[in-house]
Amino acid sequence: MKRGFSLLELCVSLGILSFVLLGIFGVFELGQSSFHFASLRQGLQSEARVAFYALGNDLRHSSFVTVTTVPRTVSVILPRQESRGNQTLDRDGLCTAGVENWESPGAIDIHSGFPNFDSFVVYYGTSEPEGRLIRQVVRPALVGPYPNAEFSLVNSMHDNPLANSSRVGVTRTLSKRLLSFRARRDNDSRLVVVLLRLRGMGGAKPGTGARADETFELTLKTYPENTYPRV
Amino acid sequence: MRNWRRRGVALFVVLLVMFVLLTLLGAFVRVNNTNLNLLGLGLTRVQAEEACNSAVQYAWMRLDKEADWGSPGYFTSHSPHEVLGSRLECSGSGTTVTGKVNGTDMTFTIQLFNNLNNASPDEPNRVPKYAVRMSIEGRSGNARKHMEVVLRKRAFVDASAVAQLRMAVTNPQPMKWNIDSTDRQLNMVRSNGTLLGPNPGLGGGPSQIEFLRPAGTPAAAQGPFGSAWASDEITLGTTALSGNSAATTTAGVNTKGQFVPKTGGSYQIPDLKPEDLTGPTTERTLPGGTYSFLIAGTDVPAVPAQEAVAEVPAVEAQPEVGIPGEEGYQPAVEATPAVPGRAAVAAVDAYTQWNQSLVYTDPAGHVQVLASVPSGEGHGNDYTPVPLNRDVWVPLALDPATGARTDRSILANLKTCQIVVAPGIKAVVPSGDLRVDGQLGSGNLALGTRVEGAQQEEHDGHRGHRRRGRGNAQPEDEALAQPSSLEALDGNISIYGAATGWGAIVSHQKDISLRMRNALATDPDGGVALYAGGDVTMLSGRQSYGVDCSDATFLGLIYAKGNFLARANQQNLNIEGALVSKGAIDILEARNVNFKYNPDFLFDIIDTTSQTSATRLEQVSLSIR
Repeated sequence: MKRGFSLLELCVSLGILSFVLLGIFGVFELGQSSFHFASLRQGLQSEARVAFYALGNDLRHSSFVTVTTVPRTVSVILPRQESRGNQTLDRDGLCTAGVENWESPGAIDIHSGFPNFDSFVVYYGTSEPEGRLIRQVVRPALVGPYPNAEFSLVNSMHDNPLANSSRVGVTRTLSKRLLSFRARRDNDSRLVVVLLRLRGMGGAKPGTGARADETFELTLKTYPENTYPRV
Repeated sequence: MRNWRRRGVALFVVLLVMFVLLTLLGAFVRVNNTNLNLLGLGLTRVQAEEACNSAVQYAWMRLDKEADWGSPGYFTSHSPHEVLGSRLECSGSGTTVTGKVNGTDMTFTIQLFNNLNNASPDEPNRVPKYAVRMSIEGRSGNARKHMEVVLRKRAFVDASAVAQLRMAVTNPQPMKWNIDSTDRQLNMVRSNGTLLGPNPGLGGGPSQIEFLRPAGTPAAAQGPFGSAWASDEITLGTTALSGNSAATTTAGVNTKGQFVPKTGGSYQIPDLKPEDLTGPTTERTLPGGTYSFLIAGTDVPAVPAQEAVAEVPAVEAQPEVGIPGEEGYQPAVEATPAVPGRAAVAAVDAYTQWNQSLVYTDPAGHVQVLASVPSGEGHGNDYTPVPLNRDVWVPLALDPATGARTDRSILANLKTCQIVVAPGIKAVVPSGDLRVDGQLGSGNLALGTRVEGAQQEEHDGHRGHRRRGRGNAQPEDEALAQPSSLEALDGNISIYGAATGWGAIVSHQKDISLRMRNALATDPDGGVALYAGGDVTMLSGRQSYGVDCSDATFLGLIYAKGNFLARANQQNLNIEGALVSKGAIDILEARNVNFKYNPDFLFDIIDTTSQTSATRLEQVSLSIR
């Protein structure tokens, strides 16, 4: 004759099972939030890498004397940080000369050996709270081994990139999670220094329960290889 | 039965655990493999790029040593294999060089287009003059990188005027400062201190500064065609530009250039030593002292009036029409400058162009008359002016064998009041100063001019050939193309009148003083027109008897270890080449100042025959893909 489980046994076993399930779900939750958190970070990093690859490539092929920067700060209320009120962030503009097709026979000037700069590449951060990093190729009336005289806040740094003057080709949005973009010329070292900060928001941060709010920051120091004269 | 059931459960559990573990292991292996592949791919790409960089550095090093390295036929007359230490092995064939970095799988191939020794571009291979283009493929594993690099000979400086302390080009009266260049990409003036220039049209009125449009630039282009750099403030007219973006922008637009004040950095002005200079090697000694042309009489014939010569008008630039290679295509025509006419020479009642004596005062104060106009030829007791009917050439150089003044390499002409240095001769003043004084605007120096009766002497090597690198055609009058030079080893050089001709004036340690009536061109091989261990000073000449100071024109490098001062008295100062001062540059009261950067004069400034490096190269472009 078989005996059934007593109420006490059932309660104990259910209790144990609950603890086990809680543990399992806890681990699962931790794994899931870690996955999302890692994805968030990885996404930020890969966006930054894409932006930096493009920036580094354009700057490296350029000439220091053609690099111009437009400093700009915006005052915005960031999502999830409303309690901190307005925050001041750098959303600069950077413009440098470029050659659209390096493989064309006319890419190099036959008389001097210098690149035949035929366009300018513009990078800037938009002014929205969740900013975008825009890359555009522009061809103003005068292109050459000198700064783009038309590059300015008014002409070239609209939140709607299609409103920018002299643009040609495809406009690329390198990041939609831009926190700040700072570009400076260092006249002594002749380096262009770019600071890029991206901000990503996600679900709960693993282990803490707080909501994920990650910032990823990269600094790029590039010497434009086609700088002439070199000093 | 119960045991079998339990065994079945145990087996199931064991299999399940093994499955889970194997799945985990598989996933782990796969993730790691992917990571390793990604890492390896990134590594090989970096290595391929580094292989390209190694190739550039290797080729640069080889070209520094031998400018014809990798040119067609080079590897048939030189060993094609080279091993550098234990790391790099290279071999050349034709115009291709392959290399391997030992201990790695990094290799590279360089396709060379060497045009370093040619003064004209290699159009089919798209190589500029005095340059080499390298098409490099770097490999590592499966990764490949392609790099295109152009290196070219480095000019002595990169600006038409470079000042260490200050640059000031001013005139209270209307003036024009033109900044021009034969290099399409490089048109600059630099000051490591302040830069003071005339008004670029700030507040209205015409701009007194202009960066000229390079030849071949579209006529519609409005610049900037050049730039002015200053480590400190740039002041144009009375306006300081730093911190004044509106004025800086307006000045840039008006002058078709850009102004960069307070750069913070400092341009490294290359050091140039007298022993580095190239030039003629046949030396003749000219004793220092004062050489004076003195007037012997006062009643002299009148100079008749002469007609003015009309200006030859400029040809306007014509833009390119059509597409190259297609029917109806017309190439662009570069503008030609107007050739200025010559003003009429007014009649002068009494002009003592001749009628001279040459007096020499040595450093100890002893005076002797070296030559005088013979009696009856220009002055006589009867005061009847009789023009000279022949030149009077007085030998000034000391004969190397006897020490007497019999050598005819350096002569004085009483008719033209000139001291003339024969072509191919280096006139050396071993000690003391050299002053060529004169009256009425006389007391001239002529370099590299053919002299009747002067002996043409052989000089070493091929330096001095004016047209080296400009085609093989040598002029028939080769002797005329040989430059000469005048060098004072420890004293000053002062020329009262005009310094003209083909060559260089060099004061190793002290000053050079000239008047604003020079026309001195240098040899592109030598490059230096004036070299002073101290200051270079140009003052306006004395106006009398219709002889006025006039324009000063220099072709070549003017290098002053001290200051450069030109007080132009409303005349023009033209410099094509470069003006370099390790002190201050002050150009005052000039009507027009025309600077034209011409690196052709600046490629071979330093005589590198005694140094290990034969070529100074610089990278002018680079692309990677």
